[in-house]
Amino acid sequence: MLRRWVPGCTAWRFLVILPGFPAWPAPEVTRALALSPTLFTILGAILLFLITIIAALLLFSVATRIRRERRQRRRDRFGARWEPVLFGRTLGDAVPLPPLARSERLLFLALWLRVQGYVRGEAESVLAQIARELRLPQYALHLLDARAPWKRMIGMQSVAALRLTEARENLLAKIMQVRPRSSLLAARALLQIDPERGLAGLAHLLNHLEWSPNAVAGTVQAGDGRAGPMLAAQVRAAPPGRAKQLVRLIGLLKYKVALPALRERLLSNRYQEEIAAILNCFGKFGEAEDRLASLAFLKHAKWVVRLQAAHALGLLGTVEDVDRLLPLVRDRHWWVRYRAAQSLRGLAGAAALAGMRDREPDPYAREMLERVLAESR
Amino acid sequence: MNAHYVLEWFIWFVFAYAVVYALAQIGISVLTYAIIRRGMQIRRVEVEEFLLTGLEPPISIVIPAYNEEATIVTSVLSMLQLRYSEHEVIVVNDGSRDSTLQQLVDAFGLEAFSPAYHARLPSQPVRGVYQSPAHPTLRVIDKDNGGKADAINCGINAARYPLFCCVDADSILDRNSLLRVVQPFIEDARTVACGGTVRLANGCEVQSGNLLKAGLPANWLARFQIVEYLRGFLFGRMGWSRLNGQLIISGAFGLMRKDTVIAVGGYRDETIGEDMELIVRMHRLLSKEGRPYRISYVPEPVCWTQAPEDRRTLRNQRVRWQRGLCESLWLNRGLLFARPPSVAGWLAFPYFLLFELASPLIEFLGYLILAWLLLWHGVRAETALLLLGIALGLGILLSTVALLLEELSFHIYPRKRDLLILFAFSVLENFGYRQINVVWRLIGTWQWLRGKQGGWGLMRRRSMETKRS
Repeated sequence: MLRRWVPGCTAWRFLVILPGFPAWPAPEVTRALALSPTLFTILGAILLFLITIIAALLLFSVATRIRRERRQRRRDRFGARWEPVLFGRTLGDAVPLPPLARSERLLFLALWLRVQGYVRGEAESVLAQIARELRLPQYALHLLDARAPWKRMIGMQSVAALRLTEARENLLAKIMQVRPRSSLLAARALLQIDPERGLAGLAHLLNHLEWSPNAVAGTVQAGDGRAGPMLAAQVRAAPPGRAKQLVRLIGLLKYKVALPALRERLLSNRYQEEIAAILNCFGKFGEAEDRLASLAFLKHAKWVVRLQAAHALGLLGTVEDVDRLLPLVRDRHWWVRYRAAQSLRGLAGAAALAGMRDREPDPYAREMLERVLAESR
Repeated sequence: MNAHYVLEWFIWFVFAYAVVYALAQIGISVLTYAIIRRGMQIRRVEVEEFLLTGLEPPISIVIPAYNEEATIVTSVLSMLQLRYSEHEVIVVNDGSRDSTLQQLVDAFGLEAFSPAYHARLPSQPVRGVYQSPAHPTLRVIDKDNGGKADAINCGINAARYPLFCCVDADSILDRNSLLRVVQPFIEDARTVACGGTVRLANGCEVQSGNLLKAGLPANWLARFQIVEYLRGFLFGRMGWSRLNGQLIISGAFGLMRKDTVIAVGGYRDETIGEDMELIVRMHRLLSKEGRPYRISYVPEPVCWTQAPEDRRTLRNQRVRWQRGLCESLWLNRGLLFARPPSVAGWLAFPYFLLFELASPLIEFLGYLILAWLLLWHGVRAETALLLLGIALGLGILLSTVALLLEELSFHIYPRKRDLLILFAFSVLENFGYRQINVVWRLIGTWQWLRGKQGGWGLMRRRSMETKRS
């Protein structure tokens, strides 16, 4: 094999010309990958094109870096000029306003919103006054219809901070479009400008959007406290089994004002997840009168409900409830045992819990009581 | 037909393959650019203070550790300092043979205690659990050795919160990383997992678990890997996430919904690429159930990890990655063209099969056959160089696009010189580094075919803290 291959190697052809090199038998050369001149030229052009593109991209990267550094310097200069003015005014200094070029308005609003995030009370009104002096409300309204989403976001935040009532219709229209990020932002802005219309918009979103409770809770939190009654009304009006998300939202926001609605909902409720969500609210901010409701669910067939009932009793229960909770530390489900043991520790204290552990015949219950005791050490 | 004609056709096939691959990558980069552009614009608007509303779902950070004595304290410090409303840190010491546990005990004053531990996923027996009186949110679980997947499963069992974030013990996180990576969960209730961009900490200035300043390492292998990471993370993952076709969330940093991970069976301890396998399995099982879900990705550089700086460790890593890829795709082959159709099954899986799994073999054969034809069948040197030049040029083009995307987005490396150095390395990697990687990946494929079992793998670590003179 080697005898056939070695002489066949075309590379030897370069060597045979060396003086004194033993002459191999002349190989029969078959030209592989023979390209037509046209194809060769095309491929050559492609290679050249690639090299040019790479060089151009590299130059573009360098140019981007230089442009960005320039822009950053401009921003730094802008910040150095305006930040002392904004902070000075919020502290009550009569600092004169420097001129603001039209091209700097967006830059200013971004800085202004950032400063708005740091201040509260009277200082917010001072900042709003500065924006008015610079005739920015009209520009903020104009930004609501900008093509770039980020400009619209600045617009929505600005009109909210300036409480521009002229923006209400536009914001409501954005809410009605039911787009997750933009609609929630619009609702947040409208809640700040006009809480009633904002709540109506939010109600529309709650009915039409596959929303995440955390995101909506963030939006509701941005408005004033009037969302509590609205959510309570929504819970009352929700079709059977459809209030789970609303109840979770109330739980996240800890709206005590919604407790009566939750109690009503709990009566003759057959939907386990809803019951569990309501009991979870009781466990967070329930009142003494919710104790009996929680006790009623300790023997529920669904473990999630038993778990939440045990958890709620940790907050609402009394020492008298210890005997009713104790069977739950023998529950077949781990989490129920865990929450029941935690609630027992809260109601009876660690010393009593240690006594229960010593008297407990069930090994699983004993282990759980021991763990909860260890956690409290 | 002569054998050399078959070989010649194969060369044309390899050439076409390289072109199609580059076009596919450029397509993904267009998607990536759209995501980056939007992300950067929103970032300009978002005031960071607004991100922390206090309504974020709490997170358990799980750090599996095996022989991590050099980096573990720095990593845990970094995790404890994260800016987030409520999070706990669970370190799982997977039967380390070095002083990992002792380092933690000494640094955080750990004390043994008996906690609530609910074993919903199987794992090796737990030897002991420790907590720190000074850091109540830190717990350390000491268990018998069982591999990384086993350690993470153990950490999930101990986790108290609905979301858990798996972080490598040699990683440090950006202070806002949890706040960033939780946003997809807040914005979209369907999100079950979210990854973030992992960057290399080699050459960066690190103090007390915080990254102070990014920089390029002096080590050449690490520089090559920086270019690779830019390409891999900026192209490969972000573009796919837009289509909900992302098949990898790096084990170095990923946030997941605990109940979903438990429902699909947790991490598989018999695989070496447990992070990718889990995500592919999630796609397979969730799409089979017809359950709406999203696997997301945040473009911000949220996690910094150490790259190997010696050839042996790098080789081990690459061999393991390739084996992990093969295992993940094979174990979840049911996802390929599965019904109901999904981007993951009909686009991402075939792409990974064709361009990630098969590429080392095709590239290796391409080099081999081109050399063969050159030596024995009289291919003109200029023809061979032309084809090779175009194939390598496409590789350089992709790296340059990655550099440009980096420049348009995060521009982590501050000096202009860094940009030029990275470009030089994106050219140089095509002459030796790329080829040796192909060989390592082939070894990985071969080991998988032979059914070699997994484990933690050898990784030589250094402390990440910058020494002060």
